[in-house]
Amino acid sequence: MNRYVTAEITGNFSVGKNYRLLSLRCPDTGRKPKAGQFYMVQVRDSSDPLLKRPFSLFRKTAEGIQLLYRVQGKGTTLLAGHVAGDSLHLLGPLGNGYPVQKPVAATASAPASVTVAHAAAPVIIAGGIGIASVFPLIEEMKGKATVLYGARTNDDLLLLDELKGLTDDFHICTDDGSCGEKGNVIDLLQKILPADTKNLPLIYACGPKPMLRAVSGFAVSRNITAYLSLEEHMACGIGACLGCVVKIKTKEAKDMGTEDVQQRESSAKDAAYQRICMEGPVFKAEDIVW
Amino acid sequence: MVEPLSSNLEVTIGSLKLKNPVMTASGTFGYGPEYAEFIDLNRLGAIVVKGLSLEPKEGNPPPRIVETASGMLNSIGLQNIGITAFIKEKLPFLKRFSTPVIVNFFGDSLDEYAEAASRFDGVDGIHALEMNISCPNKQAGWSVFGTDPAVTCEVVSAVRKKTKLPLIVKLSPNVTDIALMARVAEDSGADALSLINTLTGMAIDIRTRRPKLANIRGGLSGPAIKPVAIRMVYDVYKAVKIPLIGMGGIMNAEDALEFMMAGAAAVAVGTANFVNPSVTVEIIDGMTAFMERGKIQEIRSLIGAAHAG
Repeated sequence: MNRYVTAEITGNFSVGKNYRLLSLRCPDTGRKPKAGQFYMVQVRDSSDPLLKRPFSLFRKTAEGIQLLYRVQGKGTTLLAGHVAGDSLHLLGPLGNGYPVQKPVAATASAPASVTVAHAAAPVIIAGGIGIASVFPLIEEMKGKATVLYGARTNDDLLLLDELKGLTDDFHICTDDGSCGEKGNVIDLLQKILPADTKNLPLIYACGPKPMLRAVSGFAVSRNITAYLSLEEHMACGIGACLGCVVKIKTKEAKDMGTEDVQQRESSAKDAAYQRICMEGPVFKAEDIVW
Repeated sequence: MVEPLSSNLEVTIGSLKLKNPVMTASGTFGYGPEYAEFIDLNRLGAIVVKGLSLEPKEGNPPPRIVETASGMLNSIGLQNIGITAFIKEKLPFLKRFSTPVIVNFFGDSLDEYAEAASRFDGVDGIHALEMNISCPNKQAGWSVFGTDPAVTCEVVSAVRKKTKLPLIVKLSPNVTDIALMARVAEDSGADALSLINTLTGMAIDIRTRRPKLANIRGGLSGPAIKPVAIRMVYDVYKAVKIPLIGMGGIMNAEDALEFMMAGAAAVAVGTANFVNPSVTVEIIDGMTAFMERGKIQEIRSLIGAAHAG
């Protein structure tokens, strides 16, 4: 069965001032969705809005999936009007999820104890509605990850009780200080990973572009591997329209090192557009040309 | 003995025989594999691939897409892998299907057009060429290929000399008199015409006061442009003798039939592929159902039907 299906809405509940959780019963396409993948949702069978909207997988359920969304435009306003029993067209799961490093199996050369000792707890960062994308990753790494969650105000922080049950190391911040620390997730990052930190973690992040760019800058400067989930206007979700591109360093450019590339005239060979829907949406911070 | 009534969807575009009139519009169907999960590519009348140039093109910076009322603006900028890579890496996949492959191509100069066209001749698995002289996402100077009759004549004639394949010229709607441009293309050696390409458009974000597309202008497609496209097919049908491929906002079988009645011998489905990846096959099935209901045996009998009387 292909990934373009009709799904039945089993719930569409408010989880905050402008936020809702959509539960869908989906036919089995034989594909198990992974954290970081996304779905294209046709909010209404009409010519306006015309295109499907991309939404991150929030949770895989027994009957299908859940999507967490912010009501902010024409499409999501229409989506908010749906009730249980309604059906809609759904395409997915799409894209590649977050690469999760499995614990390395014990071998003669690398005993399990050594591997564990060197594995710092991954840091998962959510900015605003970016929580929707990293939530299944936090669930997957239950109790093993440090979670940083930033939003504009208290009203934009969602599912805090659930999140507190999923991580022992939880840091919250808001732009206006209405909940948690006043500031942004970069401030939190600098606090939990001071410059003399020896055991560097992997970072996973999803949020608004300025936040991701700042996380990327932090990670690259500290030589930390960070996986960022990007977003761009998208028409098809299956790699055909070439709408949702991001410039990614080519392999040759990466092999050359940063300084060599800077010294050279910027040419098409240093970087090329890749499709967020196909090669992404998750990219390594060091590969992204901002 | 009487033959059982069955609907025949076959049409011809010059020497090219299609099992049905439903093709894909260039730039909306990738190079084919993108849609193989959703439909049987054998069912299509023809596959028109993403526009190709001699050298790979990087395309425009994002945002490249913005949705508008019943349509979308795009400024992809003709990003493509180049003719050589297409023939080597993409064509072998398409050759596994019985569906004819039409290659859309473009150049940045007269010489590039001619050189590009010559690269496809004799390549097994390519059945026709569609020449793009009308992309709105190129620099101002480029648009003369599709909007200045003298330049159109020159570039189509140059390409005609370089290829024995059926030559389809894709017309720009961004002209004062599309019938005139159609006649020029016909007189210069085109075997068929595709119309319409996207309409030049623009959208502005009122919060940032900046254009929504990085490239400022884009091409408008989708249901919003269908009445414009129908009118242009209708006008061009009266002006030329060569077959027309109608496109512009086709979302369903009814839209496709409307284009055929306006004068299109075949149709191409574009933006609708983004909305519903299996729409092409649904359109073919819908056409068959329409013919059965109306006891229409030959879909060819509908071409230009709106001109009768």
